[in-house]
Amino acid sequence: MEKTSEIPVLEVKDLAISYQTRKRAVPAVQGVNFTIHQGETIGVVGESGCGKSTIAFGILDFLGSNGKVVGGSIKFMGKEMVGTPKDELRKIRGNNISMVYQDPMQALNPSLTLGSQLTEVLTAHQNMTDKEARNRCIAMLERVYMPDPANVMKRYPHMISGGQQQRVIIAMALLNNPSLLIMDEPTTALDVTVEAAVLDLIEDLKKDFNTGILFITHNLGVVAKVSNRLCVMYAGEMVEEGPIEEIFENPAHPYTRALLCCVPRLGDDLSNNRLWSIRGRVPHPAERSSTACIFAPRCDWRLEGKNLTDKSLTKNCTISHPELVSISPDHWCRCFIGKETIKSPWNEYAKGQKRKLIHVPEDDEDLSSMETLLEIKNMKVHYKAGNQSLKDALGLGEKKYIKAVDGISLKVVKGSTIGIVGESGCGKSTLVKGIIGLEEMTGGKAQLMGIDIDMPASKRDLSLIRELQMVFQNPDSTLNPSYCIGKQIARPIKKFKTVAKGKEREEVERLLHSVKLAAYYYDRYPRQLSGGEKQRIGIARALASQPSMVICDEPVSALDVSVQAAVLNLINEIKEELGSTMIFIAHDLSVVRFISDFIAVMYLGQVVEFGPVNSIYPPPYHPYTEALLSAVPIPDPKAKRQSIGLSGDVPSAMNQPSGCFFHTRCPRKNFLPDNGKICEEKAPVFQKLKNGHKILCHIPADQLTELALKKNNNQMSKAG
Amino acid sequence: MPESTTNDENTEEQKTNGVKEVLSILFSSKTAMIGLAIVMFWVTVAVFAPYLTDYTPFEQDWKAPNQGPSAQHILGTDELGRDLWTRLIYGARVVLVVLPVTEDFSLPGGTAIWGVVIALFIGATLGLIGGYKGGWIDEIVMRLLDAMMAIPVILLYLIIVAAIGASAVNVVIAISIVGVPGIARLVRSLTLDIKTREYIRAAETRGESAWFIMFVEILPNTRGPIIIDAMLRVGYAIFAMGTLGFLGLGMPPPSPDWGSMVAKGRAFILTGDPWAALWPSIAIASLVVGLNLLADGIREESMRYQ
Repeated sequence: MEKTSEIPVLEVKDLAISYQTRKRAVPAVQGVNFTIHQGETIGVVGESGCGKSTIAFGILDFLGSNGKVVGGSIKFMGKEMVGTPKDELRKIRGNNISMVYQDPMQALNPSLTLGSQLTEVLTAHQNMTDKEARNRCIAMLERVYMPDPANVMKRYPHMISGGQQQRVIIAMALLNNPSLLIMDEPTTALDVTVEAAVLDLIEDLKKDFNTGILFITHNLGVVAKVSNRLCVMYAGEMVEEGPIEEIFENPAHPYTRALLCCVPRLGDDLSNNRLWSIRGRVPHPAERSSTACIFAPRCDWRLEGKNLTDKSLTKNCTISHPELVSISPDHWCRCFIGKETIKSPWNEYAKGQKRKLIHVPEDDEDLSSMETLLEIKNMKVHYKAGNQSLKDALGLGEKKYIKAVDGISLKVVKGSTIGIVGESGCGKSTLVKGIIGLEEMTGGKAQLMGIDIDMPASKRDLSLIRELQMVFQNPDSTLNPSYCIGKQIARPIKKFKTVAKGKEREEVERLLHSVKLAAYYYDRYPRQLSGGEKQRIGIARALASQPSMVICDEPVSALDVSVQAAVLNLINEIKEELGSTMIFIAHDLSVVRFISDFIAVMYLGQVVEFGPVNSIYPPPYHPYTEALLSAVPIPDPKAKRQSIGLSGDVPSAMNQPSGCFFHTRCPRKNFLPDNGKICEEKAPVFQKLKNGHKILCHIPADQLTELALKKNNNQMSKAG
Repeated sequence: MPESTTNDENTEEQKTNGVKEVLSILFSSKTAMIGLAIVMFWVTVAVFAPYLTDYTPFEQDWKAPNQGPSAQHILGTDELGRDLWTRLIYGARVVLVVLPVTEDFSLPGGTAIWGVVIALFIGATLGLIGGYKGGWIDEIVMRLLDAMMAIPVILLYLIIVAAIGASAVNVVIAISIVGVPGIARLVRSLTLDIKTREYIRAAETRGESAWFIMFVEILPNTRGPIIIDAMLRVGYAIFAMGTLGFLGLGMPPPSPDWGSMVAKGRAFILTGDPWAALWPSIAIASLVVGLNLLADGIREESMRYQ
């Protein structure tokens, strides 16, 4: 992006913000410097608790009653904002700065129509008449590719999908043509295909509106796609800042390097089974030292030396606080050894054992040659819907069912991990809840080691319950806050009598050790632990009954990337050690690829593609899998891929489409004769390919391969 | 392989943090401190009542009825010449420190406290069952409690005490019956929230019984709001005791009951001797206000930095 000589949209210098707490003032953000020019996008990345959102709130002066800008300056269009009276700030904000928040559902008022919320922006700030405002709004909704804008204006927020809501928010933010747009994790709450569409939209709008954008996210893939410059935050400090290509190519700060290394990628070698992770955790604001480098306790370069030729360079790390230094023109880094680190390549893998991929014989269509632990046949979980009208209450109305899981058959091979992917609402959680007995199956059969498990957990035998345990998603609610860790792990041990009486404490300590936590965690309470530690305890608790199968329901999706890497490593290690069988649910395709032997892709309560991991990721793909894969944001600014946009919304699980459930959104069906008439009329059956790979689609597998390769070639030639 | 390591040294420190945190909440709120001071005053005088006066609450001084404060009787005397200070602090004893079951036998813990504790016990159990089980059990339990709540509280007290007779134990029964619906509602709403947490799912996948989940997994997590609610409820109970006493349905005379003291003293206000009615009124008001301040202060302070 070429720099213009005019006044920058936003100039932040040495910004420092602190929050007043009961005991003392806690610094939340320090030493932040960046400049946004017109039409430029700055990405701010960092883990949670690093002060990303605080910067945004500081710029908008939304810090709340106990937050305050304590130093530095924020210049908006050359005008100093720090110290400006609130009334004046309000005017500047309303007309020139807009913000897009993370959760669109919370940013829109559920009791007003979208139209009245949109027009209010114009009538309040630009004194437009209602009619003018209405027309402008409709035009703007068209700009954000909203189907049928005039109709959307009349609707309420709950009547449109999450992705559409975020479009409305973006339209609202752009209505008065702001000079600065602040986006705080705008795609985090969205599914990958929707995320890809919103990111494409942001790309488009950037070109047309010439707005400066401050883009806050934790996802390096997303930031690589939309930003021109990158600002890396760690523990409230800016540790690195520079052009995006420069940072992704030559990251200087050890923290940036570690962040880039610790995410699994779609292109990684499948035989690698360890990720790079960062030791320790982000220090609490009160523990941050002002006389040493904040990252020093976690820095591998300082602790292990790495490729440093002169080890004495790190002697300053613990005795003085580093300042931002220039690595190359326009690239700044807060590190004493920043000029040394860039000399060695950053993309190193953590060392681990080689991953053993399970091999399925080529002609084995149904995994019949493998020893299965769990087998489900045509499983259904339907919920009764409605009961709201009098007719329903009397039992007169037509009975409606939400078909969350609708006829799934699956085999889980002993000692393997099966990954289940799909967007929210596809029924992946309901599927495992049915297996573990938290939901009642309404049809089909399920057997674990030959024993029927089609009843809810409360009716199962203790010896059966013991064999199936679960790791949950949310670290904050997975542990009971009232009891210490030890007691919570000891409970299943006592209940299932896995060890002799009196040995429980030893067993708990052994389990703690196996999840890499020290024995003194026995007496700690959940509130004293970080998210990653809580998730480890959750794993230890699931392992306590010595189950033959562990179900993990999105165990890492609420964690920061560095913590996610450590937990994924741990799961891999446990798998190798105990040979446990696992079902691993995730919405992140790169994570699932890293951890699983088999993958099942779900859409609307059905499995649409199943196969061993090395057959799923290369073509042929089910058209839905292909769309999912193309939507995954790649943490590389040079990877210019066009995602396959899926049109429309996920249909309701109450009224599934006829024929193939995916035909309403399928980008490939027009390759069939009659524009895919058969897709609308007839439900497809699985095409069985090599190595137990199966695809639920009418299009022949050979043609799917061809289509996928053609698309790849097109992109290559475009990129080249 | 870098792995997460945490500093070992502060385990001990973290253990005491819980107590410290509660104290720091208490000390940082002026409201809570004032409330605590008032409540502690009454608790102290009630506990040490026998040592704080030379009289007994029944001792009559025929020569000095209806007197104002003096050196012999620091708060004055009532119409029978009984020492008001003595009656006042013995009255506090009945409210906060002892529950006289029969003439010779009494339980530790005051009438108001017992009433609230029993109400908590029953109310929490009903709320847990309703909230966790849901369905028709919930419907039946909650609708019955709703029906009870529809009756005005004072009327309910009067009906119950009139039906079972006036004694300390019966006042406890009345207070607990009246308190049950409110507590059950509170616990039910907390249960509805807590039962969606994943540790409840974990208990279910472990095959725990419903009773285990309700009382071991859910109940301990409702304690914060319940403690605050219980403090307020003790205040209401004291108020109710005062009302019942005033209407002649409290402790049987001649026991020192604040409500009946006000009722008796009321006749002499216009004749220029307000003391007998004034002191117990102040006592009831200050104790109720004190408990409210304490509860509000703790609630506000614990919410502030979240």
